[in-house]
Amino acid sequence: MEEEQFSLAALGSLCLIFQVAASISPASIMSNRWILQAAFLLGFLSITLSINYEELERTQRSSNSACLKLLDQLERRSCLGHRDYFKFPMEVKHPGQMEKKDAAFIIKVMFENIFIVFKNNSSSTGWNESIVREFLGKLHTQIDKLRKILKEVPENERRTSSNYPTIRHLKSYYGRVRRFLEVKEFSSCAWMVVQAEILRNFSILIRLTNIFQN
Amino acid sequence: MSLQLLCGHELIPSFFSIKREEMENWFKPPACLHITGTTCQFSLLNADVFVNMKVRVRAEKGKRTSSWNEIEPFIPHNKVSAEMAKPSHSENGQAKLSVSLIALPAALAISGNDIGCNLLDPTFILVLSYILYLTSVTGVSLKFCNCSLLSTAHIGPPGVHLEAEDKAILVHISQPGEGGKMWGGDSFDFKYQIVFWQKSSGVTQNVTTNCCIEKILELLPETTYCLKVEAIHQDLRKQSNFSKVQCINTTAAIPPPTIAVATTGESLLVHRKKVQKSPKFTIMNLQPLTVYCVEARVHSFASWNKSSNFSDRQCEKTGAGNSPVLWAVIGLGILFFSALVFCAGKNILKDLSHAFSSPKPPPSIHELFSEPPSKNLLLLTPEEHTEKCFIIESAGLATVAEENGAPEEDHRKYSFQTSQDSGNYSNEEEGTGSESSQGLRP
Repeated sequence: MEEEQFSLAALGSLCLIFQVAASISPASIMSNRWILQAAFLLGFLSITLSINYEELERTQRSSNSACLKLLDQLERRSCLGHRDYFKFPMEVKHPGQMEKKDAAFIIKVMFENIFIVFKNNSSSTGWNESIVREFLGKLHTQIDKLRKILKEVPENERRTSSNYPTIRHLKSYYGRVRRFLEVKEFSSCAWMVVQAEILRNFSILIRLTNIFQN
Repeated sequence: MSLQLLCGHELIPSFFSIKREEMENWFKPPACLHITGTTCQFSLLNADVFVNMKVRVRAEKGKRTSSWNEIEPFIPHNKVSAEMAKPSHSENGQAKLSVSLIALPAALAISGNDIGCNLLDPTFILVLSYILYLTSVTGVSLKFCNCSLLSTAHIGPPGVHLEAEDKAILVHISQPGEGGKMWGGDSFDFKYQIVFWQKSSGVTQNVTTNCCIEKILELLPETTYCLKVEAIHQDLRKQSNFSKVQCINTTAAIPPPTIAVATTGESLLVHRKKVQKSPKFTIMNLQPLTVYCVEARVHSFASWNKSSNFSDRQCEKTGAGNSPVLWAVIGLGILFFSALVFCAGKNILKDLSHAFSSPKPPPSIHELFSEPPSKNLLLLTPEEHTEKCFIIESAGLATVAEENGAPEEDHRKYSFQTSQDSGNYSNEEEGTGSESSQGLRP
């Protein structure tokens, strides 16, 4: 169950309990009033401390758009593609009924790894360096926001490569992308292939961002 | 990644091989073939560290081999916490000095000297259990040891490079396994704990940083500091080994300068004392008669843009200045004041003279005014005729003259002058004002 739904349900239950108890014994309710007040406060806090998905959707959508626009500005040439070499994890490509929290962690991992890929030397491409820097800057800004938001998630609820295979599969995928660049010695053609691959990443990112709307 | 056999000190020939879940063939890391030590380290090369791996090990002596002992599958990147692998069945080795990896029930009798077994910290290891079957040199007694084959995977220490300034140290940190496959995608998951101390005192201080370059400030100059760094993987909640301790000396501080300030009119002249050939600085266009204070510091571009502290403050008052504007204003002011005084004085004198003078003019004055005023005064009556005299030259005449080649004397007759006579002239025909005009010709 999503955190917000859980919190609302908890609050609703507390209200119900309060009303039922009040109808039975007003005296006992008065004496235990502080307990119920504390419970209300906890319920309220649990709502405020959970992820604000509306705000996250807004910033993520804006970041997706800005990054995609910059990536698209980099010159493209057709090179022999290795479209299937990288093997993007299917469960991320088709997220289905993925939970919002899972989507948030996956988006974070994707942004981080796209940043790591593009931090490598792309001088062979002749790309405008200021566009590459701006692209990295936009990625980093959103990564900071995502990390800050997801840090609020309790440790035992966080999605990591240890407890969530999808994260592992994603990291494995980006490992293959990096290895491809290394093996091809960061040639211009290798970068063109990677650029096309990451452009496809962004259509998946948009799909994942839409999950926050539900 | 390293595999250690921790039982006793016997040299145990070992043979490790790795199998990836997806592959049929077992991969034999060259570094771990036919080793005689108790530790084997091998690189995972291009292996995918996010997929399950199996490791198996057997002992060999000559042509004789024990059976394989296989470690439970694990994911190298994750390094799950210690778990006991189920021992597999294998044969006994029987030759002298032969070592067999045997899995026997724990109830097997143990005789002779027990060989101490060490278990490493289980929080970052996979543990295989096996029973090592050893024979002594004499070949008489059998020694059993319930020990562990430990598969340890560490987060290696981060890379550290230091640079010193006079009161600071720059710590350049590179993530563990730089350039390697294991942590290539985890750059954002690491934070670093820097532990440093003054070598003489040994009192440690900690600094935590997320990345790359950290500047430790407020240190003493010309002092030796030592430092080590560990990486902490926030997602896996694991720490690396500490980097090797490195020590470095902070550089000598640049002392603040001693300055002298002198005024030259509206400027201040600043120079450094006790230094030969010190440059002099002139600060111009200052306000006159104003106190200005100066502090200076030395800035070095030789290394990392070091600077000294500021000097003591020196204050001086600027002079009156030679500003032309100022003098002009002062001059005008004096003139204005003088004119004011003159006019005022004149008026005062006039008033005074009227106040003290008699109704009748003095006799001397009367004599001067005995003749009818009309004789002596230049007065122009409205009826008096004035006549304008013009010397006329027209353009047409000149042109004509030129064309006709008229002599120059015609030109001299006419000039480009116009003038207006004052009207006082001697005209016998009119006979007016002749006497009065004579003495007062302009």
